[in-house]
Amino acid sequence: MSTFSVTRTTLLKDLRMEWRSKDAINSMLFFSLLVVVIFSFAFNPTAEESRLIAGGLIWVAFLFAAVVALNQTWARELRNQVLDAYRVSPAPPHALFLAKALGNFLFVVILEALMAPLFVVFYQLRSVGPVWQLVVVALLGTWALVVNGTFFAAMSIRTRNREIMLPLILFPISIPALVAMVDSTTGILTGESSPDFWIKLLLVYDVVFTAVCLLLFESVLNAE
Amino acid sequence: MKAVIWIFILITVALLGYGLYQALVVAPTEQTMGEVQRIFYYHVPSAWVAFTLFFVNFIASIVYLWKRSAGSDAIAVASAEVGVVFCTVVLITGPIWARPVWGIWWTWDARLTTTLVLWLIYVSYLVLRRFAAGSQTQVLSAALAIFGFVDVPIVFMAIRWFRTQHPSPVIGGGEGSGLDPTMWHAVLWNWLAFSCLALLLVVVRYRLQLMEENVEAAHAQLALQGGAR
Amino acid sequence: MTGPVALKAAYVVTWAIQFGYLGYLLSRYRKVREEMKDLKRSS
Repeated sequence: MSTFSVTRTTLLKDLRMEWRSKDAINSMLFFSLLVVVIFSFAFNPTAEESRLIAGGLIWVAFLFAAVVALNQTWARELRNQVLDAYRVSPAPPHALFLAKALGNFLFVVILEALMAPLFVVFYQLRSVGPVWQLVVVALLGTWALVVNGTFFAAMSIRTRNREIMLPLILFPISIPALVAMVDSTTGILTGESSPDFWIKLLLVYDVVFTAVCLLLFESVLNAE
Repeated sequence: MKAVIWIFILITVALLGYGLYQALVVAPTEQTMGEVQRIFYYHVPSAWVAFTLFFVNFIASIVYLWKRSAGSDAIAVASAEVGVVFCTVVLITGPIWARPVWGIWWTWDARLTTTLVLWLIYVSYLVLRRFAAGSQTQVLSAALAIFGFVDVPIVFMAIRWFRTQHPSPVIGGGEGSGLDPTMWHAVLWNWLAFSCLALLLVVVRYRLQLMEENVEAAHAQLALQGGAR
Repeated sequence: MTGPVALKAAYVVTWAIQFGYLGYLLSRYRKVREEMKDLKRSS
């Protein structure tokens, strides 16, 4: 029962189930589209202005969409008492966590890839800086949100108002990552500043919090 | 035991009085800002005390996850709550200071913004404690406390870099910018006084937590017995 | 808001917050003490 095999099995199971129903990705997609459209009514920027504000708008939209995905992370497990089964099995708990986090990561990244062209079209976005840097920021930033989000989703299902509890405890701790994502995205789009520091910060954030999540997940899983 | 506590209360009150005297009378008037600069002597020590309390919360939470004792959990919630109180003082005295000096209430100044993020993190901790279900509360909030404190250096670095990228007025003139030695007396005396006040508040809150838990357990016992009858 | 007014406001607010919190703790203390007495009586 190695960590790798348990993680892979759980991840593949989740992906397969999601592929069959497409519940999460459809709702996330539609929600993000709504957010983009509503923001378009609120702001009517020129191409120059849009490069300045797009960073913030994009990440707010992705953040909300990620919360929609994260909220239902553990719903299926809860419904079928899988968590109880997991507690008594010899499988390492952090393998379950890793599988859930990776699954969420894939969903949100696919979502971002689908939304990006929409943002380009709606805001006449043309990046002054190199696009590959945007991809790096997106990947590191998404993992930052998803790794803590998956962990906090496991915590918030044990609370009285679980849907609102997740963003409530996730957002404050994610602030440095969000600042990094937004400011680096704006810097790359406008070509006015280098995202190097922000990318390093996101890397540190990701490493530190992945470690903390893996270390503490067992305590949370067994909390009763 | 009671005598010790009463003596400590008296010492705390005396220190707070002396700190006030140092801040308003002994410390010289600052050249550029004038009298309003004296807010510094309450603003900065409160921030130091809040930060120390959050560190105590961090250690208590780790100890709780390791030992699972009611005492460490009670220290955790007490230090977080009192920390939020001191943080609130920082967040309110900051804008009151900024308004006459800069004409604006808020400038996303690095220290104030970091304090705001800390306040948000620990308020979210307190919210989790209120809404978690029963026995899990303690484990879940201990986990969140660890996340929160580990985040603190990252928050600090992120906001400092953000401020160097996008400069704006610095409330309070930065760390020790031309602080007269007599000014440092006022800062340190108030820091000592506030630390004693914080310790007092934490002890009260700690005992309150344990008493409330005992009462709740007793009620649960009665309910069980009542049902059995 | 002028300088001296702000100074007074800041100090007053600090004390209001600290004493307010202390008062809140003491009232909860009183309530718990009452409950403990009730429990002793009924048990």
